[in-house]
Amino acid sequence: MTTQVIRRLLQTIPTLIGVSIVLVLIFHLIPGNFVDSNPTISKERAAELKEMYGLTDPVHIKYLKWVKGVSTGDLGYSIQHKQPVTTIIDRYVWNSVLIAGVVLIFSWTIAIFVGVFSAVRQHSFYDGLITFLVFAVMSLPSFFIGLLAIKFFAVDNRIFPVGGMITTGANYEGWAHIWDVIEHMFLPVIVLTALNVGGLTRYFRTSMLDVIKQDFIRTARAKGLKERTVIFKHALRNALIPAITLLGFEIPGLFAGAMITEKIFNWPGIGSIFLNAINARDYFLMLGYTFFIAFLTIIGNVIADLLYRVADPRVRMK
Amino acid sequence: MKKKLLILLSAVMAFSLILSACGGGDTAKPADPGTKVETPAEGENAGGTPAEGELVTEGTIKATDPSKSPANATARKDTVIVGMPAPSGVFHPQYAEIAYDAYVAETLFASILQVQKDGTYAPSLGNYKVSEDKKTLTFTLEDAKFSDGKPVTAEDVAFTFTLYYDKSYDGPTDAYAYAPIVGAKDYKEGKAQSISGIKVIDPKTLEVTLETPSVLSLDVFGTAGIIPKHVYGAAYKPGDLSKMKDTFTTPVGAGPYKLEKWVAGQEVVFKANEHYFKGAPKVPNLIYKVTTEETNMQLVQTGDTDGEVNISASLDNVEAIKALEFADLTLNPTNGYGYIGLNHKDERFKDKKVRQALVYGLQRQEIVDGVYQGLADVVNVPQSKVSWAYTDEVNKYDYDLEKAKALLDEAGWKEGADGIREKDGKKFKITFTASTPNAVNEVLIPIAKENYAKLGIEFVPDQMDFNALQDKVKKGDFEMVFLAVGLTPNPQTAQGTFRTGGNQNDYFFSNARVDELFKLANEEYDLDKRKAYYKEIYQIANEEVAHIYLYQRRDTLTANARVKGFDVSPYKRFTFDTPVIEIQ
Repeated sequence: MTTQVIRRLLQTIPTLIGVSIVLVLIFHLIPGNFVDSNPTISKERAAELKEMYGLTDPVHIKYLKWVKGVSTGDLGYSIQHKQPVTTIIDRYVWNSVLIAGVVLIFSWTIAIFVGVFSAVRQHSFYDGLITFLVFAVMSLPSFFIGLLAIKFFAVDNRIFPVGGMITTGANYEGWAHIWDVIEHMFLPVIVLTALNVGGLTRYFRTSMLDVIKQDFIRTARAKGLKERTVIFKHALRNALIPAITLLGFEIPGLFAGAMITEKIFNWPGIGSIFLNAINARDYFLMLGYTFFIAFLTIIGNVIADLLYRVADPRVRMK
Repeated sequence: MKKKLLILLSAVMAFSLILSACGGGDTAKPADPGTKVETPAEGENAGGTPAEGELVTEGTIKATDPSKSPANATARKDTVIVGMPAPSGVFHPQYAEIAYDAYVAETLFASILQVQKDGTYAPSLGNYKVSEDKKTLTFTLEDAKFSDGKPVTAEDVAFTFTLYYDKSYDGPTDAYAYAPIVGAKDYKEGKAQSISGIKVIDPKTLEVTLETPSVLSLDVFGTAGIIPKHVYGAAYKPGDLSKMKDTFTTPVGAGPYKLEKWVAGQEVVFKANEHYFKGAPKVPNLIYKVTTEETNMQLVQTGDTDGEVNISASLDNVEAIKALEFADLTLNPTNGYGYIGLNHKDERFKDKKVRQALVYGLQRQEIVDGVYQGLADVVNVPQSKVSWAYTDEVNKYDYDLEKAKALLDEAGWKEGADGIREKDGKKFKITFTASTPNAVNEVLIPIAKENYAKLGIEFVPDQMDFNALQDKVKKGDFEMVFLAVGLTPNPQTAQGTFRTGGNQNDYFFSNARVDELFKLANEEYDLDKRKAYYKEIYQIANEEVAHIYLYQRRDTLTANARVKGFDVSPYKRFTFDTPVIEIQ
């Protein structure tokens, strides 16, 4: 198993190198840069600043400098924030992780239950209703249901706060602070879960339908097991195996931030910071953060691979 | 396979993000085509109640019923919360670049001069005198203390000024171009231990000697937030400012407030500075709350904020704020203007008559009303109408199709068989470079297309992402382009755009008299004399059609009527009112 892990991790190195080359190339090619957007500086000063930030280097030098930094854990310097990129990611990403983590737990739990029930009662009225609801929610744009939710629950009826992460000016400490954050999380979590749960439900439903048609399920029923045991112990376990891969892909999603929802709910996450970085052409923040997400995607993939082998003995360990 | 797919996927994702996320140059909201366009009210409307159906487009619209203020806002007896987009945590007056970091810096740090409502500078933390040869500026300081109780001295001012000229300084100020201090070059190159042109005379007096007279130096020295040497000195080694960046979130200044805490992306909490030299602020706690455009109005409505600086000035928003009844709304002309830039290197645009015809033949009022529904004016000079240097003694270029046709005829562009004008066998076809998505272009393009077709000119839009457009303009690879530009209090900064070879003169506009006037104006400190120079510059820029000037839109400041004392202008931001506002 250990050799498996090591081999799999070593295999990611060429992928990472490939990704880094592509990213540096893309960001090198995009038009515009941070320095030129300042209208008050002279051409000489602009040239001086570009030199200082390493924006004038040819692409291969840029790449080598950057890779050298990355290998020591330095993702570069954010021109806009005047801080190292890692500081900026650390400053904002955890707020995104908090929301994304809670949404992940809720949407998976709900999707599993709903998916299983609609699979068991395939083609029933209940199944049809779920399918309809799931597609209805999925097809609504997030900014629309976000704003609608704010109007109903925060402005017309003041049940939840309009946005943000804490009550401004309240200075809560300890448990009061935690409760305050939870209260601010309600709306964004509900909206994001509603948007996520749709696709997942379909996924679990299909996967469950595949399993319950198999012979071992008939065998289990023939043994006289209770229906509940058949579904949850025998069928669900097998239906969840393909979901491991899906879970691996959720890892980068945890850190990616939800750009639109963060803006609407005023959530201080990394999504809006990244969006601003793109608009301002904050070169190293764009590059560093995209690479960070690419890295997590690859790692997520490796973890999924390994877990898959653990969960399903049929996958041969070479 | 999977790995390859992954690389491809991440590349595609990154790329699509870039493509989808680029904003336009102008953040105007798209106009609602269903709304009736009302005639803008004439003149000042400050404080007055407008006649029925009349649209107030400027000044302050007072709250009609302050008692409707939400209970949670009214309950905050010692705290004012102002909403604004997120500052990025660069709370240092020499480094703050985005407006919201600057707002925080202005609240924490005091400067020698302070900008007034008309864009002139008045004494604040001190004053200045100019020598006979206009090369030496003598700054004198008031009795003032930093928020830690230590006095503000000329040493601190010298320290602050020196930072700008350091080799490793990467803030947004181009100090040397604006204020070429004697000895700054040597200091930057490491040949000198200090800048010879900065002399501390006594603890309250400082002398700065420039290589050449430059009125722009006031923009550097006068508005620089003074930082205490005893706090920031440890973070500064000549040629190495990297440690200075660790001080951004622990600022100490002589401004009206001191920083209590900063929660990234959420709020900046201030406490009144009891040592503030103009007297401690009346509001003990001030908070800048981070808001987004999506919900900043709702936050005022629910009482989460007492004011908001960033609600876009659309007719819908103005109506919605009025409907709150408890909020004062100030509408000010935005500090900038929109224009169509012409490439003066283009053979056709070298002819002044052609340029003038393009203005006369364009229904600018229709375009501006179509986008802003009355909440913008057509402009004819590259200056804000609130500026002390503004003049309206210029040609108004009202829409005149016949005049435009006559001018083109005179210029030798004759109508061809297909109705398109031609000269020397060349058809008159203009490629219009425009950013998308952009609310102004959505209205401008169809109107211009139709207007210019009437003149016998084919108008072909070429739309692209804003950064791509900017790149094209920087390379001079365009014929005609729509852009908007910001203005500064000092009219002299316009030299970048209008002087031959100026840093922002991507249009190759060149006029010997304008160059001369800008040079004269930069060597003059007397406002009346400068005003005459700028007037002539604006008249030439208007007559010569350096650009086709389009519009000046509005900015808003919304304030719950329980907070009194905001008196802002496009130059004097609300931050300068923080020491005087009161809660009622």
